[in-house]
Amino acid sequence: MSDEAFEAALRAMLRKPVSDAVPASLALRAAAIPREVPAPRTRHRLPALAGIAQLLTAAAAAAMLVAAALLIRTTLPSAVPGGGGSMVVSSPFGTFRAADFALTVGNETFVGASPTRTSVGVTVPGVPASSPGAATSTGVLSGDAGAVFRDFGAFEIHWIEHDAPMTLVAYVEADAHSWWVSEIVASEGRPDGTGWLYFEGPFFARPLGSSFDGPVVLRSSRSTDGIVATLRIGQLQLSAFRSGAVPSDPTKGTPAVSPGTALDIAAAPDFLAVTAPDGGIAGYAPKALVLGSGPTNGYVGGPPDVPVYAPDLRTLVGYVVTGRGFLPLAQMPLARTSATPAGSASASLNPGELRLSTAPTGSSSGGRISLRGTLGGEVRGERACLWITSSGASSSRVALVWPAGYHAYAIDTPAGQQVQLNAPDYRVIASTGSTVTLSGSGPQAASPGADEDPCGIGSVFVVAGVVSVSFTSPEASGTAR
Amino acid sequence: MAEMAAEGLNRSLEREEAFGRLVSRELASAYRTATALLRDSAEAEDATQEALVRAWQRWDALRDGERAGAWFGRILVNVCRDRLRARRPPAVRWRDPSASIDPSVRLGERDALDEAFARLTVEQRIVVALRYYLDLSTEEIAERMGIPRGTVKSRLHHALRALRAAYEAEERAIEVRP
Repeated sequence: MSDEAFEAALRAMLRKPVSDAVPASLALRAAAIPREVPAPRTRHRLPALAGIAQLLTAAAAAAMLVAAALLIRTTLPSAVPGGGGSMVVSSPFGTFRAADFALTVGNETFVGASPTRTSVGVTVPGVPASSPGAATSTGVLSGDAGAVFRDFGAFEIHWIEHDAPMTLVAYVEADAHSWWVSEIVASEGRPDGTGWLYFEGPFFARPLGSSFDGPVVLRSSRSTDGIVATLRIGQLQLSAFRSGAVPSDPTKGTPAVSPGTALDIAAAPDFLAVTAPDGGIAGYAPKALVLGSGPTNGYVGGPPDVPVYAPDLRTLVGYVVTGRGFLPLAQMPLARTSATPAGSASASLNPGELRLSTAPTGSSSGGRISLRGTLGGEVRGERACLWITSSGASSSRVALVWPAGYHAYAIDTPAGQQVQLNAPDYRVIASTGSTVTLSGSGPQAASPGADEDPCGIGSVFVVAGVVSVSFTSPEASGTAR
Repeated sequence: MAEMAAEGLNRSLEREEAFGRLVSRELASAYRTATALLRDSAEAEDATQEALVRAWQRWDALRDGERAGAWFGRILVNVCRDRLRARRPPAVRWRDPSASIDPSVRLGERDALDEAFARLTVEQRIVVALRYYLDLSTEEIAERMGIPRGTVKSRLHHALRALRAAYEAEERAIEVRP
C-alpha cells in the first residue's frame, strides 16, 4: 500500500465528522462572549516599589501555601506500614481479590482505604455486584453480555482516598484456551478524578479454569500527566471466565453474507474461517474476537492478534496479526511485546515465572528441521526444564532450548502440576502434555551441566518456532490429530 | 479623570473589536480543529466556546496582536487536551448482540483508522490531527502544543505506525467469505 493511499485514507477519516459550516448556535455564543463574560481586568502599572512589595507578599503567601501543603502531605501515609489495603470484587464471572494493595503515585500512596465509600451499580444487567462486605471498595463486573462478547470483561473498583475519587479497572480477555489481563488503568489521584495511569499488559496469562495467585509489582507504562506510578499487590488472587470463554459445542464456518445486508452475528458460526495467503482456509478464529468490539482502551501497538485454530478448534495454528494478516505460529514475531530482553538468560522474571533455557534469536537458523511429539517438563527450583518426546518408534526425549523471550509458568491442575509455555507477548503457546510440532535445529549432544539442559537429558533441540499445538495429547484422547 | 474613563472605554472597545476580528477569522477553523480532535461535533462546539471565553478572559496576556491566531490556536489545543484527558477510560464497550451490524461499515479501512485513532494517546491524536487535518508543519505544531519539534516528530512517528498497522490489517486481515 502506498504512502499516498494511506495518507488519503487518514485525511478522509479526520474529515469524517467535520462539517465545514460553523453551527449557528456556536456563532451566536461566540458573538455574545464580550457581552456576557466579564471583561478582563486591565492591568495597571504599579510604582516599582509597590510592585516589589506586591511580589514579596505573593511570594510569602506562596511559601506559606507550600509549607501547608508539605505539612498536609506529611500527615498522610507516604508509605504503607505493614502493607496496604485490600479489595475484593467477585461474581460468577470471576474474582479480583487484592491483599496488601498499594498504588504509589509520585510521593503519594493510595491503599484502597477510605472512610467514604462509593456505591457503584452493575453495568451489565443480570451480573451480581461485588461480594458483600468488601472492606474498602465496591465493585462492578462486566461479565458475559452475550455470545459475541464472552471473551472480554473488566473488574472495576472505585473508592475515595486523599479526597480524590479513585478508579481501578482491570481489563481481561480470553481465547479458546487461556485468559489474561490485557491492561490495568488507575486514577492518578487528582482531586477532580481526571488523569489516568496505564499498566499495559498482557499480564497473568493462565489457562482457562485456573487462577492467578501471587504477588504483583507493576510499573506504569504511561500516564496522562507523565507520572510514573507503581502498583503493588502483596497477594493477588484473580480468576476470570469461570464459565469458559467459548461454547461447549462450538460451530465453525463462514456466515452467509449478502452484499449490502447486515451480518447476523448471532446466526454466524462461533468460529469464522480465516483465509490464508494462498486463498485456502488457514483455520478458524473465534467470532467474538473477529466481530466483537471489545475494549478499545490501551492497545498502543494496535489491536490484539486474533488466534486461529485448526478445524478441531483446539489446535492453535497461528494468529491474524495486525498489519500482516494470517501468520502461522512458526512465523510469529518473537519479541513483539516481550518484557524479557532477547538472549538474556538472567533477565528478571515475572511473579510466578520459571526460568527457561533460552538461546539468542537466530541461533537455530542453520539446518532447520521439524520435530513432532509430546511436550514434557518439570519444575526444578526456579527453572523449568522442557523436553519433547518424539512421536516416532524410539520415543526418545530431547531437551528444548527456546528462543529468547519465551516464558514458562508452573500451573496446578487437577491432574497435577504442569508447565505452561507462553510466547514473548504472554500468549499461551502450549502446556506439558500438548502435542506440538516444532521447527529448529538438532538434536545435538548437550554439554554436561550445560545451562540449556537442566534436567540432564543429554541432547538438546534448539527451537526456532512452534508450528502447531494440540492441547489434547494423542495418548489422552486416543486419536491422533 | 474624564480622560482616564475615556481611555478605559477606548481600550475596552478596541479589545472588543480585536476579539471580534479573532472570532470572525478563526471560528470556523477552530471548530473544525476541535471536531477533528474530539471526534464529537457537540463537544467541539463547547470546546470552541470555552477556548474563546478563555481567550477573552486572558486578552491582556496577548502581547502581539499579529499572533492572535497562533495564540488562540494554542488555547484551543489546550482546551481539547483537557477535555480528552478528562474523558474516562472507556469501559468495555458491549455491543447489543441483537443489533444488526453492517459488515461493510465495521470492516472498512476508514473505520479501522477511526478506531485506531481513538486508541492513540491524547498527545498523539492532537499531533496527527494538526498535521493531517490542518496541514500544519512540524514547527507550527510544536509552537501550538508548546513542545519541542523532536517530540512532535516522535509522536507523529509512533502514531502513524499504529494507524498504518491498523489500516493494513484491515486491508489484508480476515476475509469473511460469502
